[in-house]
Amino acid sequence: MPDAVAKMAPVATSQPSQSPLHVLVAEDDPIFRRLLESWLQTWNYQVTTVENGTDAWEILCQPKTPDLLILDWMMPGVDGLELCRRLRARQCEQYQYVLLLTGKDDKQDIVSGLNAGADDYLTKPFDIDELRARLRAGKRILSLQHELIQAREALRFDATHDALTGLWSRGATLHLLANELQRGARANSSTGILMVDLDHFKSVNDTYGHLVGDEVLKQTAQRISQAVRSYDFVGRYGGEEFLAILTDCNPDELRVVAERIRSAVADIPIDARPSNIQATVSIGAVVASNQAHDLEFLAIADSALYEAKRAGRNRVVIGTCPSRLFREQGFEKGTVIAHA
Amino acid sequence: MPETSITVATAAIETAWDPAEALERVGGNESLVRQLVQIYAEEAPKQLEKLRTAISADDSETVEMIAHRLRGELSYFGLPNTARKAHDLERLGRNHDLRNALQLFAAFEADLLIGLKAMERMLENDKI
Repeated sequence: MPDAVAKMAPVATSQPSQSPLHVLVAEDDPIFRRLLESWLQTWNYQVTTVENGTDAWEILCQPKTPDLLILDWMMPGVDGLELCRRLRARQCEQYQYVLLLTGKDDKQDIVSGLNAGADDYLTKPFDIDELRARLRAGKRILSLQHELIQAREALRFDATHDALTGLWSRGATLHLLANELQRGARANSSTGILMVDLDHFKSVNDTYGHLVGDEVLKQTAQRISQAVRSYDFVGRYGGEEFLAILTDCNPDELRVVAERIRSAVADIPIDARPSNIQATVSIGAVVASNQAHDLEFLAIADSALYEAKRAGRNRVVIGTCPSRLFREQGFEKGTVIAHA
Repeated sequence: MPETSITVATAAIETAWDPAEALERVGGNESLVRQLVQIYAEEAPKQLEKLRTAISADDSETVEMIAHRLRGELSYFGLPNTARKAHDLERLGRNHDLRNALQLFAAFEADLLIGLKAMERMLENDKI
């Protein structure tokens, strides 16, 4: 699932409880069409009316479809039963509640209507109070479904994001990296990997306490996110370690973005009230092409990070790629490209 | 036309339809009843002609569909006897047996025209 994780941010879905419910009425009989339109408007529903099933299907194929459908059973062309079948046959995130209108009172017809996917039915001539009550029942189901989708999206977000920083979680980041390397291999492009580690973070925690430490982590995460390009990914890889995945990235861009991150953290002290913390990061960087496994590149970035720490911190070190690739990228082994 | 039959027809029109039932059905909205009756007065004669043509053409599917529609509307307006005749025609269509349809249609048409006259009268009056 190459794109699944990237799409996991919470989705803003419409709030049926706040805006009027949109009802589609498909009814070929002009009298019942007018009657339903008038009643529904009085009850504050947003109403669209059509006089046949073909027009109804056209509306249902548009991106934003009505929430609740009142479909006449018998219509020329595509009838209510067929509309139900088509609707339920397609996989759609938004559930449509279907109320089938029928003049038929035969039990078998009602059964086949429900089997075709209708949620409820109403026989003509219908009673105003009964219709209103059945619409309310539909509304309840729809708002319940809306709440479930929202809860699921929130859980999905929590499962893939770090609670403190809001960045991608470690698992999601590794997943994104694997996807990006695969995509790069298909598109014949390289991917930049930056392993970013806060320097002396343990002493920040020890000296100022964990609340200040958390604030430093949060603000560092924000600065990294702002320093990368809009199409890059940033995740929290470990305690004070971050991983940035730079899509379609050549060595020059890798150098520029890595340095931007380093200076974004180092240039301005972090306001972690009551203290101002002068934080710095060390960065191990590598440009990964499709010649090796993602874990190999992570190991290279990790070694480069170690090298940056050993060389005095607050600096970027470009990692050692397999020698052939390394030459192609134009770097010397363990090149320090920036430091304070 | 002899005078007696006119009297009978007028009496039939007066008793053919009581708008109170329709008014109650739409929740007491008089203007909505008028709108619906207006639509019906325009639509029903067209449907009647389509039904006649379908019977002549032995097109049982169309007979079923139009009779079904007329039945629903008539029930709604509170014309149960006429609706019953429409139901009979609908059944003939569904059973693909239109042998007695023309005869039944004549009785249905007569009933419906009286009903329509009664509706037109209501439209002419200020109050239902």
